[in-house]
Amino acid sequence: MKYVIVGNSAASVGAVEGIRKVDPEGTIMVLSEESYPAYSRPLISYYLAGKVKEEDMYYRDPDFYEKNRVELLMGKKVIGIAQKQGTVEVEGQQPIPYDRLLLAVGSSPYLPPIKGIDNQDYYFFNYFNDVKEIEHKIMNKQVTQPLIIGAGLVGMKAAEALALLGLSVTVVELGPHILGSILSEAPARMVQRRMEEKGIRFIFEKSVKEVPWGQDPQGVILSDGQGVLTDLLIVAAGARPRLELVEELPLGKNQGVKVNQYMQTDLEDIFAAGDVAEGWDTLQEENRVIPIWPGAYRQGFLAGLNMAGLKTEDVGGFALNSIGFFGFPIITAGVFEAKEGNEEVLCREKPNSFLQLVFRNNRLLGFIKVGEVDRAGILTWLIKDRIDCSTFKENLLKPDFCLLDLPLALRRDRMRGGENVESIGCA
Amino acid sequence: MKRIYAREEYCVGCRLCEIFCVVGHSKSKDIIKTYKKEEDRPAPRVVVWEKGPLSFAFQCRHCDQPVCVEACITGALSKNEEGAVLCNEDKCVGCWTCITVCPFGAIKRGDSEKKKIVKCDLCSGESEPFCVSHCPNRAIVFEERGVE
Ligand SMILES: Cc1cc2nc3c(=O)[nH]c(=O)nc-3n(C[C@H](O)[C@H](O)[C@H](O)COP(=O)(O)OP(=O)(O)OC[C@H]3O[C@@H](n4cnc5c(N)ncnc54)[C@H](O)[C@@H]3O)c2cc1C
Ligand code: SF4
Ligand code: SF4
Repeated sequence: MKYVIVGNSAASVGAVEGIRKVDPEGTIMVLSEESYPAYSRPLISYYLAGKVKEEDMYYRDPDFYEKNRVELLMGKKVIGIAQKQGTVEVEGQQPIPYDRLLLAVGSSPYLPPIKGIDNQDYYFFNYFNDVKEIEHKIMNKQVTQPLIIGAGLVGMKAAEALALLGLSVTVVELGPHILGSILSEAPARMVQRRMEEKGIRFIFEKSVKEVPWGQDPQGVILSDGQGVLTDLLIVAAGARPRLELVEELPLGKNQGVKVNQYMQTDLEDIFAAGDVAEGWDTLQEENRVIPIWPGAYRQGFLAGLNMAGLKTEDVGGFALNSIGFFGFPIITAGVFEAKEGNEEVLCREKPNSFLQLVFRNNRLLGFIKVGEVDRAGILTWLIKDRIDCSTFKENLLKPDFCLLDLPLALRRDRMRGGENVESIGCA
Repeated sequence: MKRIYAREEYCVGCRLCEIFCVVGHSKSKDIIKTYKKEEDRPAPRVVVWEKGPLSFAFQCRHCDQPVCVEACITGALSKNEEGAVLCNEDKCVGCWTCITVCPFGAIKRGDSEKKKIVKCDLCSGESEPFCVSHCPNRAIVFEERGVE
């Protein structure tokens, strides 16, 4: 069996481990456009801030590829898939045949329409090389006031790293508050205040309209006509699944590539996993992309098992995120806002912490935990296993909530624990 | 595999397990030296939970399919051949993704400068974990129970 994997990140590593669990024999080839062994993408901001050294960026031990007998071709971009022939095309090389192909190509950053941006120096914050280029520019002392477009997860991690380097950072966000994909307004303001204390400046409900060419000093013009000076422009306006390779293929796609419960696309021998794939969201009850690292790994692993012939059904998952700024932690999971009107929302707000729980029919649907995050995984488990919380709901609001606050039978079950615990199904 | 199990009916909440967990992970492995002399005293990896007369010691369950390992964004967590789920502290960045998913609430945030996690390692290499061998009431045991 010939396995070919396009992409070399979380989903790809998961797939290698999944395949090798079932099939020690088949050949595995991993094609990567980037020139690194699999590294942890979330760590690029840590790297930029000087918190993690290059050698600690790697997701697996250096002997990972050798041990799993993987042929890794780095710096090789796949430019086409000839589905009828069963080959992939790489520039300057013979077509590479596959029996099973995995698309683990992730997402690419979105560039909003901004007048004049094509003539300008701007940076994304997605790949290791992006932060290396930013680092280079900073080291050459060319940067004092970076401007970041977008206050989502990626933009905020970039802002934190640049502020830690002593630069005065401005963030321009179209929405009314930061981290709109994971936080409601109150906790978002709490986090924003922390970031402002560290010197980060926010401009909300505006977009960058134009980057005038050849200006000195350089700057941008916002949607209200206001000018903002900057010598480093970072675009963190979200990401889109990378569909370029499948555009021509007869397989279902939406935002991302549609997959079934075996991570299989409409074409039997082509699988997809990670940020490019639309897996099952158990809470939203629809197929959608949930772009998180643990989910990408898990989907990749499942794809690997299925590609190697061990039919394993995906139970689906839901969004979860753990992020923090200047040591102030945030954990969220599931659905964080009442949508259908039949939800019940419990809240506890203190000056330095915030907890919000959303229930439907006494089952936890999601939570936001800011400032105080210990044992958050117990809440994640309550969501995942759809536990009836009617008798102990209020206990979940206690700051020191732990297993003792669960009813006896549930507590006993947790204390025994360990055997037969299934995958949490994150994403 | 062998796991640590709490027997709450014998636990009096004395927290000796926490103390001996610290000792077991110290440089000297000597209680006096650990508490009186050593500078970087490790944090306990077992926690005694207590409410009225009820108390029990709790730590990582070393799951058969550890979701923390699956979720760890850096590859710091792994399961070794004996089944112990271990954290490579050189790699952990304290992102708390594992805390987000551990269905037992068994991972603690470290309070060190570098914010690594603190979790049970079954005292790898010892025949019996320190907390188990030092509990005066046998309120924690280390045994093979399999699936109940
Ligand atoms: C700055 C940043 C911080 C993040 N922090 C977190 C976090 O803290 N927690 C979290 O859960 N998630 C985080 N994420 C999201 C997480 O990184 C992604 O969900 C995850 O990387 C998705 O993995 P993947 O394997 O699907 O794809 P990716 O990691 O995107 O990797 C895809 C790979 O495929 C390669 N590729 C694409 N097309 C081709 C081609 N045609 N030929 C060859 N190679 C190709 C790409 O170069 C890339 O290396 C973060 C993302 C970013 C950018
Ligand atoms: S830390 Fe939690 S999820 Fe990981 S092995 Fe231990 S109990 Fe299981
Ligand atoms: S806190 Fe450490 S061990 Fe936990 S997921 Fe993050 S890097 Fe991995």
